[in-house]
Amino acid sequence: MKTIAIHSYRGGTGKTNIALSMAECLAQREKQVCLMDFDLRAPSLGSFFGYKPSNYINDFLEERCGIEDLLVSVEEFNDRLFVGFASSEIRDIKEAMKEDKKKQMKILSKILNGRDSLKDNMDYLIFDTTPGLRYSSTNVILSSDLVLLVATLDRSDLAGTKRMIEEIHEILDMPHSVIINKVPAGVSDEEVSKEVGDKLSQNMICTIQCYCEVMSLRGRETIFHHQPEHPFSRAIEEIADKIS
Amino acid sequence: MEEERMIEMILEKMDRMLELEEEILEMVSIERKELKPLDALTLLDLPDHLRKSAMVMNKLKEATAKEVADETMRERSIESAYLNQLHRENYLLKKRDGRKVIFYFPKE
Ligand SMILES: Nc1ncnc2c1ncn2[C@@H]1O[C@H](COP(=O)(O)OP(=O)(O)OP(=O)(O)O)[C@@H](O)[C@H]1O
Ligand SMILES: [Mg+2]
Repeated sequence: MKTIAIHSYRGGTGKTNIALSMAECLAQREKQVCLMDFDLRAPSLGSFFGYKPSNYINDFLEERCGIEDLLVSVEEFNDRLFVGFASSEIRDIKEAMKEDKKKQMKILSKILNGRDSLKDNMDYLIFDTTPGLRYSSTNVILSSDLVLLVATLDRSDLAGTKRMIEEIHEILDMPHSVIINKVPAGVSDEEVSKEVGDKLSQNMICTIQCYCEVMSLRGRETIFHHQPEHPFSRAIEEIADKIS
Repeated sequence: MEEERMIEMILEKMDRMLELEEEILEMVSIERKELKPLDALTLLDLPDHLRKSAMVMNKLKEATAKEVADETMRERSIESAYLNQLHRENYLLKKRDGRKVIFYFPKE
């Protein structure tokens, strides 16, 4: 099993969209995929699927259920795609985001053990994360084999992403790749490489253009599922090729 | 082969000596310090070699140097040195069970 964290420095760079599409893409390729909403600060998969599970990731972390009790099989994918949801109750968010070291140590240990118990049944475990340096993202990064960093061409985003790579991924010797998302139409890959600088362009595996259709799609379908020929969907396929 | 076994034996003896020294130091030290948590942000600040051991301990909760070494794919004697360092720095507790030395976190 390969464990992948999808992370970013700034919020709103497209992590959730990419995590979800990647999960769909790999499941379509006959892989067993588990997608976990580890953006415990602002969960979003629940509202995307319009689903209210009986157990959340939060229940697992607080030892109220096992990891298998929270996974929900997504119907269209014939038991190939499983999703773990996070609770969006304010009480649960506050609890999960507590900056208490002892508590976060327990949570890290739950994640490491949960990951290992999925090993035999899954080909991919994909974590959607909280942006920036928070416990809910570092816990997950430490439990992953690969981190996909999603950045935009925004200056502060690029600078922050570079700093994270230097101060976290390189120190941890953690394999990482960069995706530059929401690139304005007409900007070439060469121009993007120049804009993002050496460090990021060395690790860049894909650039994705900004498409209004991606933004305007609401409700239950990703553009990947809805329009497989769309350039956004092809970019996702390209990322899936490169990481598998 | 014979040499390797000798070296392993010597290392084990040295380990034991270091442990004894620590046990004595612990007995004579008056104040017992509180254990420091090994959370993600603390782990990020640890040197690489210690972090590997600490991550495995976070998973196993209670383990011998051999059990940790099996996961980190390092020599048992080296792992034992790292775990002892974590113990000295107050991240782990250590107890003896017959001939075995067990590293562990306190139960709540
Ligand atoms: N390539 C793209 N073109 C246009 N819109 C995009 C693209 N990628 C993502 N978006 C849009 O940007 C918004 C934010 O995307 P998403 O929720 O995936 O980001 P995120 O990184 O998960 O955000 P957060 O940090 O808040 O969790 C969404 O409205 C999404 O549809
Ligand atoms: Mg998100």
